[in-house]
Order: sequence, then C-alpha cells, then structure tokens
Amino acid sequence: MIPLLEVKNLKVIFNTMAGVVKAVDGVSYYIDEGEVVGLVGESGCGKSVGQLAVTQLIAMPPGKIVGGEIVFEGQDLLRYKDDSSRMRSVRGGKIAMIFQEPMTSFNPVFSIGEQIMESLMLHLKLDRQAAKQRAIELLEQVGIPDAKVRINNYPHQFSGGMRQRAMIAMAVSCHPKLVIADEPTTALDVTTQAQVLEIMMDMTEKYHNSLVIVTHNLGVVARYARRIYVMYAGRIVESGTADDVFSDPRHPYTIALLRSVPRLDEERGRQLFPITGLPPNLIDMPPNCIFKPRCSLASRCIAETDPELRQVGDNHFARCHLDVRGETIGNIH
Amino acid sequence: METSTDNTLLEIKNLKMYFPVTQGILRRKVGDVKAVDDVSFTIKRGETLGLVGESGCGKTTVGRCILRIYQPTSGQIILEGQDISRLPWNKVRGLRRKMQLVFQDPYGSLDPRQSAGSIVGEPLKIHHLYPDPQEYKQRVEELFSLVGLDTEMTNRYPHEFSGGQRQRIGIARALSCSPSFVVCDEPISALDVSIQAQIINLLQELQNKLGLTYLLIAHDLSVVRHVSDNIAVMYLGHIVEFTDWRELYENPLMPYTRALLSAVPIPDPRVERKRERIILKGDVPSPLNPPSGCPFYPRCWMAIPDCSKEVPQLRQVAPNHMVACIRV
Repeated sequence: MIPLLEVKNLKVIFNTMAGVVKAVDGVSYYIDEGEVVGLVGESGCGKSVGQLAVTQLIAMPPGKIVGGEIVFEGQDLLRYKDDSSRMRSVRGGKIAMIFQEPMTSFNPVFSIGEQIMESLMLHLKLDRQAAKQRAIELLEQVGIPDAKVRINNYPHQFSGGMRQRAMIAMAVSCHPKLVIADEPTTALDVTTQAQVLEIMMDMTEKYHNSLVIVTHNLGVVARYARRIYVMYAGRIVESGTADDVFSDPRHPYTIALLRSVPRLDEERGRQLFPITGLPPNLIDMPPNCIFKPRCSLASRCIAETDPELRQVGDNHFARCHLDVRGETIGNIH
Repeated sequence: METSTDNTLLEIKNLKMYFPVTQGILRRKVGDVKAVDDVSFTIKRGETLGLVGESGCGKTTVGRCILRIYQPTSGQIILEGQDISRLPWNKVRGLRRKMQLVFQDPYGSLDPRQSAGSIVGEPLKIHHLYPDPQEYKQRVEELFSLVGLDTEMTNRYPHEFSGGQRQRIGIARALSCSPSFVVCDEPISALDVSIQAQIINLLQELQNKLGLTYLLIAHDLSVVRHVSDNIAVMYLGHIVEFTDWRELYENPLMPYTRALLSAVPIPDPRVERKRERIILKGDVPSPLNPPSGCPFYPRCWMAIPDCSKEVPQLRQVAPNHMVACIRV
C-alpha cells in the first residue's frame, strides 16, 4: 500500500545571527491512510517545524527547506511554491492543522463562525448560507452547546477547551485526508485535555482521516497513537508501534524519557532518573551521535561514526550503535 | 479532621477568601468571587501535602492565603500553634522567614537585572541575617551547592541560565532563611519533560536533608502522587476529597477525583487499553455564580436531585479519607 504521506530525508534550516540552525536534519517518516501516529520529543527538537514544513507554513526567510521530499498522494509537495494554487488547495483542504495555542491561532477580530465558514467557502465552494449551516453542524458535532448562537461569538468569548474544540471543527470541516495536531492540548487542563482528545479521536473516526499527534506527553501518545516516532535534536531516534516502543524501547533517549516521568499506577518509592545535561545546541551539534553527551551508556560506546536508523525488530527502528534494551540500563518502570 | 498538637506544623480551619466584584464608577460591590470557600486541612511536620485541581479552582489562592500574600476573608491559619490569619502586615514580614514560596514560572520570577547570587542572598539582607560580608558570601555559596548549582555561577544573571537552573535559583532563594514550610506553586509545569525529574528529585532530597514541610500545588496528578503523603483535591473553592497517595489511586470515591485520575494518561499502551475512561462534559462553572449545592453536580454523572440542595460537607469515610459527596 502506498502511504498517504511520505516524508523522505527532510532537512529544514534557519539562518540566524549565531549561525545555521539545523532544526530538522534528515527526517523520514510515513503515515498510512486512517492511521493515528504520534510524534514525541522535547521542545526544540524540531517536531513542530517538521510538521509545518509539510504544509509549507515555515517563514522563509529565515527558514529554508534545503532537502528532501514530501510525497502526499503520490505528488512531491516541495515541487510547488508555498503560494501556488496547488499548495493552497492542500493546506486546509486536504491537510488540516490543529495548533497548540487556541488563543492565538484564531483571528481575534472575526467571529468563530466566520473563520470556519471561510475554509468551507474556499475549499468546498459552498455559498454563505450553506457554509453557515455546515459550520453550525460541525460545532454541534464537537459538543459546543447552543451552536446556533455561539457561531457568532468571537474567540475571546470561548473558553480554552471550547476554542480547541472549534479548532477541531475547523480542521475537519473540509474532509481532510490528514490532520496534523501540534501539541493540541498542552495549554489545557487535564480534564479538558482528555475531553478535547476524545473529541479529536471521535472526529477522526467519523471523517476517516489520518492523524498526527505531535506532543511531549508520553501518556497522550500511549493512549491514542498506533505508531510512534521519537525525535531528538532534529532527528528521529526511534520508531515503531506504540506497543513495541513503550514495552521494549531500544534507544537510550526513549528509555531515559520513560524512566524520568512519574506514573500514576506505580508505587511511590521509585526514584526518578532525570536525563543529565541539556538538549544540544542545534547550531553546533555534537559530532557523531547527537545523544552521546547525555547518554548514560556513552562510556560503553566506542563507535566514532554517526549512527544510522537501523532495524531492531519488526517495523521497529533505533538510531544507536549499541544493542540497548530497557533491562541493560535497569528497570524502566 | 484529626489534630495532633505536637506534630502539626500547619492547620487551616474554615479558610475563606472572597474577592469582591465591583461595577460602575462608584465601584459598587455587586458580588463575590468565592475563590476559597470553607477549606480546612492540617499538615504534619516533614510531610508533603499535594493540592490538585483544575485552573481556577482556588488552589493557588489557598497557598497565597497561607503565606499571607492575601488577607483571608475569614478562617484560621495556625502555624506552629500561632494563629497568623489576623497578624498585622508589619509582623507578616518576620513570618516569611518560616515560610517561603517557589514560583511556577522560572522566567518571570527572577529579576533580570539582579545577579543570581544577589537574588538568592536578598532574603538574608531583608531579615538582617549574616551581617558579616564574608559569612553572607559563604551562605550564598552554600545555598548554591545545596541546590546543585556551581558556586562560580553567583555572578551570572538569570538569562544565562537554563529553565531548570533558574528553578534551582528560585528554590535556593526560598531556602535562604532556612524556612520550615515551603509552598511550591506548580514548580515544574513550565519545565521540559527531561528536566522535570531533576527538580522533583531535588525537592525530595532537600526535604529529607532539611526536614522541610511542603504544600505542593499542581495540576498533574502523577507528579503530585509521586511526592505527596496526603493529597487534597479541590474543585471550585472546596476540598472535595482528602486522603493519602495510595488510597487516592486505589480507592478514589468522589466522582470528580475519579474523572481527574482517568484524565491522566499512563505512558504504557497496554495499561491504557484496559483503563476506564471518564470524560467530563462542559467546563468548570464560574466561581462568581457557583451552582447551588454540590459544586460538581452539573458535570457529575452520578448526580441525583438531592445533590443540588445543599453543599455536601467533607466527612470521614475511612481513617484518613474524607469525601464531600452524598453519593458515596
């Protein structure tokens, strides 16, 4: 089966006063039709930039896509200019995005309804009346009470959770093939987070789209994603099915991440193992392995080369010279 | 609530904090925001009490009332046997030697024009401790090494530090006057995942070393449960459940606590598939116009008509387990 989206060796840089920042450094991944994929990493690891590149929403300059292919439905999107009619029909039409900040990603001077209707009129060529009707339906589907009245509200009149729900309604409004949710619930409370994620999954099921969840929250990915990519400093360091990555992590970074977060279902006495040091400076990246300066197994690793993403199991890849398993470092949980 | 006189460090009795809402040019009072409404609990020496709830539930206000940043509307705050809730402002400053605050935002809470050493040492100057410059310098360096910072860093400015290091500076400042009680208001929620564990471990280490008592205010139940002895769950200004960390996960009674627990995902897909999911509908009601009766009943799936009649009192259902719900 041909994947819906295949990103091959994507490279994105930013020219800054201090030097060239390699935000995304040779990232490859794919998303199948109807699949829910998780992309995990700390802030600054390039996970958002990589997603913005897919819809060419990166400000150029200072940003620049310097290499790679983004093949969506068999066509390389990078061959089209960011303002070409092809890109415009993809962006918001076939690929929709849900952003982190529901406060800042809506335009404050237009009503919520107006903003949902805009994409309906543009992509589906509906007239105003039909677009409004559809927008009300969509708001009802995501659980906005009194949608007929609320459609005329402005973003500031919505609560954070409601704004994010309206954002989901907007994202699925044109029946996209792919929805990219970039930290969709980071700014929200836990109960609202659960509520919003659940609505997002319901809508994904209803509209049969694929979904990419970009997040730093390991729990969210464990709950919803079928496949996972773990990113660190602009690269994918581990990928595989959620079950494989969580139960048998094969990269020291993934193992360290899992050992550093407290779990709700564990005994209290366990000591957390923080990851020492800081993520690397993306201007001046460590030679050879990017994780080596923070890796607890660095002393064991004598290889002088940059590790490649290599297969460690059925559809399970890790970027590490060593054959690490959770037990090699100690108990994960 | 059980009270043992000798071991209790802090006791809160019927704490209320109402903020007036005014309207018009004359600033006529038209209502109250009941941020904290009749909250009582005790914290034993050397213990950590976790206070959890959604944003706007009043958990930060409780912390600020205890520190007397706010003057509570009514109720008692008894610290080491002394009621401090009505202490005049000029006496409050001396009180702050005993209790301190660690802030949420490590970027906003440090003065960018002050060196790290001067930030950490400022409380010492205010309280006239260590008047000798040599001893003062020594104390500041001691505090730096206590929180795991290099003593060479005292002359650097906040912008030269990473988020985790800044939070360490904030902790060193809070500990400078050797307080016995520290309020940690969301100490890790602004930090990156890989750094959070460093700060959690540091707080626990310091507690063991210095015998500190913490009030940990946070919204992340898995973190709260990891460090707290007892946990109080707040909703709309009320404590709705109070119990120890083990009971809270194994035997949560209040429907809201159950929803809160189920909302926290566990990083393990196999466990997640088996968990019960409770998804709350709607939003937290406005504290300006709270529902009659149980504050949670409009969102509760177990509610019966009686729930809207009166505010349920916190009652003991098992040793060290209190719930404010008529349905359990």
